[in-house]
Amino acid sequence: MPREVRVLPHRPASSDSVEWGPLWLTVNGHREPAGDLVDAWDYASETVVDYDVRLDLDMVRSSTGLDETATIAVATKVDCPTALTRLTSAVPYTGEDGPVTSISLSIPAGSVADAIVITRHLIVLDPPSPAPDGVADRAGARLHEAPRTRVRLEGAGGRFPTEAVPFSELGLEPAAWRVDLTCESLDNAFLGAVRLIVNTEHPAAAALDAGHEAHDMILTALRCDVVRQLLSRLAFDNTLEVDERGYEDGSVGSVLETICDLHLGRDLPSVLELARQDAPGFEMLAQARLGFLSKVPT
Amino acid sequence: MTVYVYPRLGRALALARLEEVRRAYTQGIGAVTELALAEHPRAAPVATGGQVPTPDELWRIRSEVMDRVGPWLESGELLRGHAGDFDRTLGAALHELLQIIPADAAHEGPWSFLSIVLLPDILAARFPTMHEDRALGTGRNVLRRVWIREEILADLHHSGDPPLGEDELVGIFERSAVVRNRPLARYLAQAVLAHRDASARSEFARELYKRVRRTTGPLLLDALPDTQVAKLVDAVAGSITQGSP
Repeated sequence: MPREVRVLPHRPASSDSVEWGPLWLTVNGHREPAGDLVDAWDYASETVVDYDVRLDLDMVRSSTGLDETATIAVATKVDCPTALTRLTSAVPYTGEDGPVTSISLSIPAGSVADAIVITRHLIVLDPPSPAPDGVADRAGARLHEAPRTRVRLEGAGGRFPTEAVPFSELGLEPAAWRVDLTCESLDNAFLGAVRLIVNTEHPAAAALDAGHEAHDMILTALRCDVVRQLLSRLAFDNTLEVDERGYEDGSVGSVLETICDLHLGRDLPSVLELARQDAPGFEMLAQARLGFLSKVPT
Repeated sequence: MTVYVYPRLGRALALARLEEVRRAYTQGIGAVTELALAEHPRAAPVATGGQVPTPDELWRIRSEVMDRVGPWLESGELLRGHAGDFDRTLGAALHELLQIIPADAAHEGPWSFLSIVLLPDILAARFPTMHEDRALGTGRNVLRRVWIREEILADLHHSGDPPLGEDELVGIFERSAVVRNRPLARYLAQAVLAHRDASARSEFARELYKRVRRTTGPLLLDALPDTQVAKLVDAVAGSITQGSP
């Protein structure tokens, strides 16, 4: 899936004018580069995001068309979709202390959960009004953006959210597994919305152990079934609308779009239309592209 | 001050417990009340990061919540037209009494426990069909949805004549990219409450939310001082009122 490109209605800062330094996270006094997963974090942890940014202010102004009356600022955003919260700071840049500015943002203990997405931006705080054609003329206008960084605070990395229980104790039919999707919109976080509930009493559960001879084969069946159940559910659920503008990383919509693009070779709307109009065709597409039962033990 | 983390009920166990509650409800709300418990043998809180209320404390929370919403539940089912008042009272009670750490409140498990184990009669009375998305602790959960409204809107949740209706609230909260900018969410709520024509207010709210969302592409609203966010919302609201595109 192509990376999202933001088209701005005004002149952006040139790439040469901004150099974003690496991101760092300090958790309970221990500082390390911001990676995929944070160690030893919990709801009592004090967390600080920090980094350096180098600006060539003259080049920023010449490329954006913003003169010295406009305040350029470095903005940092820590976004937590799961906790429905966002922390932001905007530090005006003057260049008086040299081309490099150090930025830090504290995340209060207990305010975020699951994962955070850190983005960094160059913005204008008080642009000229009126402004020349093509020059940013609204406060908060984005001028440049660093690649986003997603940091997992909790959980076991990117593993599919799974629970294993004996179905007889729960009064469920003795199926191999159940795929559960509970969300109010496709914007909801995927890891919170979806569950694979495996029946520990079913023979397939034993085969999901890595050492089992049928492990690879059962895994192909499981993957195929999870994908087709999720897409089928979406195809026939009138309350879940597909947004053509796309979805945030980690959301139900984003994950399903990626699955369709990478594994089924079609975009999400096309796959859903196929599921509605040609059920056998949809099933065959899923089986063929996801390798259903392709690894039969010899 | 938020200090507590709550026992978490996994999805599979929550679904099984929900079936028990549904079966009990066929005998009436009293049978559901009798199912209420302050603990579950397979519900455990997150390992670190907060205090865990004892079963006695949980039972006290239940008693106080039921005291506050009890008048609406005397008939066993929420009467038509009372949902808004009930939700606001419930949201305020939960926010005050749970003192749940926001990071814990971000997870499904605690709300599944609170809804299906501790307060199943509230679930049954508010949403008698007990659809999974109202019972499980995801975004539309019976308790979680009113708690987060209280958390973000606070006094605005109880302001206005009339207060914000369900459609107007859903419009703010359904796009999490907007509501995560909490000052923006509050200014949107204020603008809706200030709209003079109460009969057309919901339509105004829908248009307001849509137009403000459109501005978020080229602008980083989160980085602006609250006063500028307020000005932006007022300007958009004014353009709608004046009939400008």
